[in-house]
Amino acid sequence: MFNKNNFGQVGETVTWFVATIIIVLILFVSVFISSIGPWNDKNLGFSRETDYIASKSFFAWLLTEDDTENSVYEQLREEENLNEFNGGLALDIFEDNYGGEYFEIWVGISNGKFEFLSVNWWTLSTGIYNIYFGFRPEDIVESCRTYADERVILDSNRSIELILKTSDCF
Amino acid sequence: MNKKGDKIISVYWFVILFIVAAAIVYMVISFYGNPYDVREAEASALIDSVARCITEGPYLKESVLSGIFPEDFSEECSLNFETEDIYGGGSEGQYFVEVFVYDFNSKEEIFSASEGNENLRQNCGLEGKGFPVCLERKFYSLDNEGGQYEISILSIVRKTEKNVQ
Amino acid sequence: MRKIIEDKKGNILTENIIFIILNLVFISILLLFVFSKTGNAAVLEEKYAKQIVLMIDSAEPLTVISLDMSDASKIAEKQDINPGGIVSIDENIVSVRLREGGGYRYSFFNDVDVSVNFDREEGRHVFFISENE
Repeated sequence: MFNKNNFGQVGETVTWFVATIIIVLILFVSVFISSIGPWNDKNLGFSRETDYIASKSFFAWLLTEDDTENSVYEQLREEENLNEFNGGLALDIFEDNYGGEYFEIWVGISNGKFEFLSVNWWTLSTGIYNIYFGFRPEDIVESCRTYADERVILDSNRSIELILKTSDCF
Repeated sequence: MNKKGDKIISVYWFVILFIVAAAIVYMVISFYGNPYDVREAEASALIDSVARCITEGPYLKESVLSGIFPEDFSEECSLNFETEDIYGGGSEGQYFVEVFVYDFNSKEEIFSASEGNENLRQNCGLEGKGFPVCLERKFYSLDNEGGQYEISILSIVRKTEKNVQ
Repeated sequence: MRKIIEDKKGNILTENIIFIILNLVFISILLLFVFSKTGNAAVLEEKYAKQIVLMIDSAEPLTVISLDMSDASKIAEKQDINPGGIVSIDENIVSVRLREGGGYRYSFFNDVDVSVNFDREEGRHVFFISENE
C-alpha cells in the first residue's frame, strides 16, 4: 500500500510537471509569433483602387498613333480586339512596368456580355479573350475591391479596360 | 494533508496565471508600442506628385523635353522636404526623389533630375529595420508630336524614428 | 466527528469562493489593461496624424477633405480638450493632441497651405487645401 501511494504521487507530479511545460511552451510560441508576425509591422498599407501612374500610362497608350496616324483608341473602336500594334505595345507598357507589382494584369475589351470560356468552362466573363493578356479575370466585383482599374467607353456595348489585381478575391 | 496539497495547487495556479498574464501584457505592449509604418504610402504619393508635375495629362511637359525644366524642381513641383526635429541626418535628410525620362524605343536618356538627400540612395535594396523605404515606378507618356517616352521615378523616404521601433 | 466534517465543509466553500473571486479580479485587471491599450490616446494620435499627412500628400490645391475623428474626439473631451483643438497644422507639420502633455507630430512633403476646422454639426474635421503663396 505504501508503494502504491508513492507511485500515485510520482505519477501525479509528472502530470503537473508536463502540464506546466506545455503551458510555458505554448506561451513562448505565442510571444514569438506575436513579435515576428506580419501584423506586428503595423504597415498602414493602402489598397489601390486607382493607380494614378498606371492610369497615366493607359491614357497615353490609347492616344499612341501607329504609322498610319491611327490612334490605339480609334483602332479599338474599329476592330473587334487588340491587334499586333496596340497589343504588343500594351504588353511592353503594362506587363513590363507593373507585372512585378500586381498579382494579375489584364488589358482588353469588355463587352458587358457573359461568355463561356473554352478553358475554364464553368467561369463567366464579361471580357473578350485576347492573345496578349488572356482571359479577363472573373472576380472583378465592386464588393471585393482587390484591384485597380481604368475603363474607357468605345461604344454603347464595349469598353477598353485596364485591370490591375492585387490579389484574388477569396 | 489535503489542505497542504490544496494550498500548493492554489499557489501553483496563481503562478501560472501570472506567467500567462505577463506573456499577454508583453504581447500587447509589443504590438501597440510599434509605430505605424506609412513610408511606402508616402513614397507612392511622392511619385504621384512628381509625375503630376512633369506631365500634363498623358503628355510630358514641353519644358521637360526642351531642357528648360529646372533641375532643382522642388519649387516647380511644390515639394517641401522640411521635417520635425526628431530625425537624425538633418531636417532635410528624410526624402529623396529622382526622375529619368527615356525614349521609349531607343531607351536613350533624355532628361534626369533629383531632389533631396542623395545619401539615402545607397541604402536602397537593403533589408532590415532602420533602412529607408525605396520605391521605383515607371510610366509611359507621349509628347505632342507622338513621341513615346518611358519615365522612371525613384522615391525614398527615411523617417525611421517615427515608423520603425 | 460530525462537527469536524461540518467545519471542513464550511472551509472548502469559503476557500473556493475566495479562489474564484481572486481569479475574477485578476482576469478583470488583465482585460482592463488590454482594452485600455486598444483605445489608447497615444495610438489614436499617431494613427490620425499619419492618416491626415497621407491625405494632404495625395491632395491637390483646392481640395476639401472631411474626416470623421469621432473616436478621437470622445477621448479628447474626457481630457477636457476641445475637439476643435485636436488637430493643428504649423507649416508642413500636422499635430494631433488628445491629452494634456501628449500629442503626435508628423510632416508632409506637399507644399500647400492647409487649414482645419471642426464642423460641430456633422462632428467632423474639415481640411481646406490651397496653394502655398
